Formats: sequence, C-alpha cells, structure tokens
Amino acid sequence: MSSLKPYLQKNVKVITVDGRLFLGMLEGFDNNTNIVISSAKERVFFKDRPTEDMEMGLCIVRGNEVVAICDYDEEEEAVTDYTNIHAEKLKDTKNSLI
Amino acid sequence: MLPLFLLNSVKGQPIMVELKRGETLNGTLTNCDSWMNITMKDIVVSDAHGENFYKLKSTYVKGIHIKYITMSNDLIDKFREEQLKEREYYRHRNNGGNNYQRRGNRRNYNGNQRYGGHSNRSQA
Repeated sequence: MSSLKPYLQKNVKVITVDGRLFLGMLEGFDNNTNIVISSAKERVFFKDRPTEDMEMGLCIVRGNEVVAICDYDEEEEAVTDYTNIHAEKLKDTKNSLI
Repeated sequence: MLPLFLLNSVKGQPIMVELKRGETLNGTLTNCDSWMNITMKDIVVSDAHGENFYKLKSTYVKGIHIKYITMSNDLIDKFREEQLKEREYYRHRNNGGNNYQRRGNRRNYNGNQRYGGHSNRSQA
C-alpha cells in the first residue's frame, strides 16, 4: 500500500480538483486522504498580475478534493521569484460538456 | 495527527468552511462526527464570488459538501499540548504511580495474612 507517511512534517504542495494550489506543512492524514496542513497558503497565479499568496492558517482538506501532493525544497522555493511567473488558472478535473 | 481528531478538538473555536460550490461559512464549530458532518453557530455565509453575505444562527453541513476547513494556526500547538497531556495521563494510569501490581508475580505463597494469604497457615 502506498502511504503519505514519508511526507509527514514536510513542506508540501497540494493540488485540488478545482485546480487550486495549496502550500503548507503536512501534519496528518487519514485513510480517506483527508489531510491537515499547517501554515497553509493558497498560491494564485494570474496572467497579467503578480502571483499572490493567501494565508489560510491551519487547514483540513477533504480527501475527495485532493488530486496530488508533492514535497518541495524550501531553499529552492525561497530563491524563486514567483511574482514574475504568470500562468493561466488550472482547469478543474471535472469533465464538463460545456 | 488525524484530521478528524483535530476537528474534534477545535469544537467551540471559530472556523471557516468552504463548500464544494464555493460558498464560505464563517462561524463557530459546535459539533462534528466521523463523516465530517458538522454543526456550526453564529455564521456569516458568503457566496462563491464573495458578493453577497447573510447571517445564520446555526446550521448543519453534511461532510460530503465540504471542500476544506480552515482555522487559526495557533490551534495546532494547543492540539499538540492536549495530545501530550492525554498521553501522559494514560501512561500514568497504566504503569506510572502505583505500579505495585505490575512488578512481577505478587501471588501470596507464604501465607502472610496481611496480604490475604491462607489464614490457617499463618496461624500455625
């Protein structure tokens, strides 16, 4: 069985089904992939504006919202200038007919 | 740290819940269960665009409609403290303090009456 255990107490990025990106430290998880992240931030990219980080505090993300979780290097993150990185909003995972 | 344990320990604290549809509910958590169904009181609801707001006295939210729940970052320290205390308590109850009965075999073979031995033998 694959587990999130190696990611505990690590800085992680979480992508959710609505195409949003959360950052924070993974504090816990359960069998439904409900996760707890502390010092959580939502990072929002824009096409024409600088990137924004929104502080959210302690966050419990429901398991069926989670798409992917990855850990990242804090030092590398600190030297990356995200204000000059522009991107379109990620699409959600839903397969809409419109 | 299990997410639902944490949720259980922040009863009575202010939380913000975002639903799948994008509405957010700001209020005080009153109760929750193992399906993440929650009840809240004194809520301010805002729609997905953050344009319209209204108040609710209390509400019940089915867990399946929740996207995420956020709360103050300080609550995690509180939770850790509580967990430590609880662990300490159980350790104390199980083998700390009076561990008279736990240390090896305390069966009374020599009939000392004070410790509940055979009264006839100790009299002899």
